[in-house]
Amino acid sequence: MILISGGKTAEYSFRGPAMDLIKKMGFRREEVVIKINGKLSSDLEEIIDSDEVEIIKVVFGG
Amino acid sequence: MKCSKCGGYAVITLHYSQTHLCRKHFMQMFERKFKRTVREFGMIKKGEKIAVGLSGGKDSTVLLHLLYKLSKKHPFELIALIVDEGTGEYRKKLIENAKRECNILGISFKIVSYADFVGFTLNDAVGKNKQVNPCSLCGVIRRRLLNKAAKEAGADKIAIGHNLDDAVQTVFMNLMRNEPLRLLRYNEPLVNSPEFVQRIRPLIRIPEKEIAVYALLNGINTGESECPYAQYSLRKEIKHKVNEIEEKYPGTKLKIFSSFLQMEKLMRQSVSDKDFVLSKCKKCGELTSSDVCMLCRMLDSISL
Repeated sequence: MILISGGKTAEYSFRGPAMDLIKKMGFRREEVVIKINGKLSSDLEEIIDSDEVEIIKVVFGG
Repeated sequence: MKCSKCGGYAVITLHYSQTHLCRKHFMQMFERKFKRTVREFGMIKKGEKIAVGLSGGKDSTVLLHLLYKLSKKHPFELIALIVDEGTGEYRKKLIENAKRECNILGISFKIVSYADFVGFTLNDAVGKNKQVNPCSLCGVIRRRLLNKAAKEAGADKIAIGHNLDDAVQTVFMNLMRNEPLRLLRYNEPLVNSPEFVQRIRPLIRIPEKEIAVYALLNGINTGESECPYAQYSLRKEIKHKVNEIEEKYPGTKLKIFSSFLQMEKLMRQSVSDKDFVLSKCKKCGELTSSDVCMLCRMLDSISL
């Protein structure tokens, strides 16, 4: 799987629901949105090895 | 994941209602919620002039777009007030975004700055006064400046982009500071005076994440990033804690907000206008509940 987060792109091994990946990467579910293969997606969507996944932080402090 | 309404590809799952929505049904739900909130609180009347406090971030920019759309069906006038606190590149980028969005929609705007209003930027004040909490100072100046600018523009109301998350954080902050009565003025003013332009919060029932999703789906530009002073903010700490609780117990934010509305109703019944006597600030002449207003007290404590 290709993972894009915080402007960085990396190969990452993960299978399972997107919300588990969000948690694993240290984000809170309420503070990010997820794009799978360029499409905005539910955080319950299952991710597979061939996917390109982008985690976008949308909630900031202050 | 399939949309709970039509079986299309879901762009979001609303965990608090256990529904998955496609683009079309999310947009419908979102805009319906916005319009219902405007009606529920009687926020806008025909022919009024509404000044949007526009930061250029996602909440106020989405609010600008929604109000613009609404104003085409229910005629009211719309202007934008863009506040420049003087926080360097962070604010510059957001102001550019705010101006661009106003130009796209053809909405007139005015930029008002802390530098012109109080004689210094937030960066100046914080740089020279390490004891000052930037968020408290910024909040007090912003409130007063927006009120002044809205009055000068002849606005009937100021619309701000406060969302459900902001409302819940405000409830917690006021309880933590032992200032429960401040909550009473959250939805409607305690004292009706032509000196105060009423604030409305049409996004109050919408979670922050959904506003971001709406912005992304509609290609609305938001120059969002983190305020350079966010680390000083109590709000930020509460925000993260509440989001952790929401993740574990979906619907918590909505329940807290509903509880707040019920408590507000009960508390309003037990207070009268006499409990909130305002007089003129001895220094600036603005209405205040003490001899000297909060802004003047803060300005006195700052050396530049």
